[in-house]
Amino acid sequence: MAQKRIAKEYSELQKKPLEGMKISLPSEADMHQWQILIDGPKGSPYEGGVFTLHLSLPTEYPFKPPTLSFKTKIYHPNVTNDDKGSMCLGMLRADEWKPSSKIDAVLSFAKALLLEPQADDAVEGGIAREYKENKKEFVKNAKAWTKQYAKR
Amino acid sequence: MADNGGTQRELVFCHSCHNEWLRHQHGLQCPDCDSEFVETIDEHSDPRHNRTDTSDDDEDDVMGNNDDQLPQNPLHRHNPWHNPAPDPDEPDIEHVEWNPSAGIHFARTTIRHTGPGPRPQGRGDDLFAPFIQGFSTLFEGAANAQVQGRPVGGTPARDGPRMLRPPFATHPFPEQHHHIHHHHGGPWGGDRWRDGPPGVRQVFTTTGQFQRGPGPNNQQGQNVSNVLAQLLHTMQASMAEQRDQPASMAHFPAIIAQMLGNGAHGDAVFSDEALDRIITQMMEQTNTNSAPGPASAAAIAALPKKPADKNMMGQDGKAECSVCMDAVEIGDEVTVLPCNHWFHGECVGAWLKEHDTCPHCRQGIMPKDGPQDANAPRAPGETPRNIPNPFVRPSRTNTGAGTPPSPGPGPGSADNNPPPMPGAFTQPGMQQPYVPGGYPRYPEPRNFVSPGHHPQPPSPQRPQNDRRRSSGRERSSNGGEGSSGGGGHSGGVTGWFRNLRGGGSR
Repeated sequence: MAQKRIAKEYSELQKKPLEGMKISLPSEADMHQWQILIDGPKGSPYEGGVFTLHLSLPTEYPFKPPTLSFKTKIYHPNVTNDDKGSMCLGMLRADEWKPSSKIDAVLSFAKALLLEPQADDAVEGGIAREYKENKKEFVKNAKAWTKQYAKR
Repeated sequence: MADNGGTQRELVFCHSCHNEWLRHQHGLQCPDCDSEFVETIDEHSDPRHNRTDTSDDDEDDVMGNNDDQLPQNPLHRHNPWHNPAPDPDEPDIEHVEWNPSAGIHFARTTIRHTGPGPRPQGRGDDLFAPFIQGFSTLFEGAANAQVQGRPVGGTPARDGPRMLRPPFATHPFPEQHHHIHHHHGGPWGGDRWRDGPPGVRQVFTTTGQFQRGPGPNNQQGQNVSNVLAQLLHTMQASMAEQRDQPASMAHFPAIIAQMLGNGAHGDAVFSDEALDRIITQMMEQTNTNSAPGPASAAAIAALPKKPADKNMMGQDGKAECSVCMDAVEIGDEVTVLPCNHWFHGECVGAWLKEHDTCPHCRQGIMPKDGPQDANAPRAPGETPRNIPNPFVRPSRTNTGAGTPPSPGPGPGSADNNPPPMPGAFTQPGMQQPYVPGGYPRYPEPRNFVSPGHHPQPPSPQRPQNDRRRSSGRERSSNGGEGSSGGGGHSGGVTGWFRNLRGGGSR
């Protein structure tokens, strides 16, 4: 089932791409690994940058949730600032996942999170605090990182 | 005796039975077991320290400290107090051992010379005391604590061995086995030192063991790590007060921290951020474990099956199973859950046998009141055992990305989320017996969610206390559904935000 559904979702997303996102398969032979390029949303400090994400779909998909990670370093409260770049998405957690959630919803959510970080659900506490208490500084840092790591 | 003075004090250790003796007395064969698998002990190589306890053989089995089979921390043999120019009279031997399954073990031997002449004091146990005390206080009593001290030599020590006797009380973590073992006293009997140096020699061995519970109990291990992290704070503070301590001692907390730092949260000890990370990690683990269990096979099999009828279709007369995303035509057999969502029987069965939640709205099919493995699903009006988790924060659950906001089914959510499509509630579709869990296929552009596909009937069958979050849940349910519509995406993110701002202010 996984293959079929993934293929379906993939072709749907190719036909009707999400705005500001390019989805591709790094290896045509493996439908389970997707690469996503997200443009930093307008009005966010990530504007002008392009971020590479990796979506990994388990063989049990849709019974097990996919995982989403940032390959491009990003200054964001909800993305771990390590080599994993894991994104904190509630809907992807095992106890919240449901098979009717679709990849486009996951990706849209990820993008929305770029526009509006959820500081209360942060994985990077320091960045979250800065976001809440010193937005100016946060924006400055996020922009600097975007410039440094997410150049087009 | 004078001619073999070089070897007379050499201790020999038997690897077979862990016996030890003086070489000049019994030679290189174990007097107890006749084994020749022996090793002489010197200050560079002390095989006894590979073991958890040099003097108590019985405990080894309990501790299961098997160096050979388990991966070892790189610091396994690290000796931070190793002195490149050792004073043979005062070899403070410190040994900390990290063992992934058995926990952390440390052993420390201090040989203190209290004979004639001034000796430096306060180097060893003074520093260690707060550490031991801290552990003991925190764990409030590990089982099996022993404190023994025994000066070795001809005359009693002036100040005697320091007794580190922490308060021991009841065990606070019933599932864990913290074992603190203070052992003072040398492995050498006094008589073995009859040729020893003049003055009084004291040998202190301090060992401690922090052992994880049996089995792959990572989380508990992490609890220990966290407690240790706190302890290290305390310890560092107390050590800072020790002015004339050797510089290397200051690294001790760092070394321990490093050892604990095996996991992703390792460096996590001294900063708030790191603490956040630990907490997040633990919460995630906890929540993972709290994912709903399976529904009983009998109940799954007993779910009603119906041929799909036209009421189940979307506005354009099409629908699909939201699990496999295959189209469902009128007349195809589908399985209907008590929440009225329907799916292919095979698809929903595969999910339910792992998690008793509707793939769409996450209400379970098992009745709340009934045996764990009830062989029938609940009646539609009956309270499900699993209801959408009320503890999940809405911001995390809001998966409605790409979906136009939809009104929640209850007044609670309608209040803070003005319905953009007022018709939704009033349409008769709301009361239809079957609500497809599948994705209705909408003509594009689609502006609202068809009421017929509202994922949940309004709340009489939902418990009151679940209402608070019902709008978040509704939106999340629609997120999956609506996102298939394709046309909804053009305004997807904005829609999500309208939704978030409108209803997400809780």
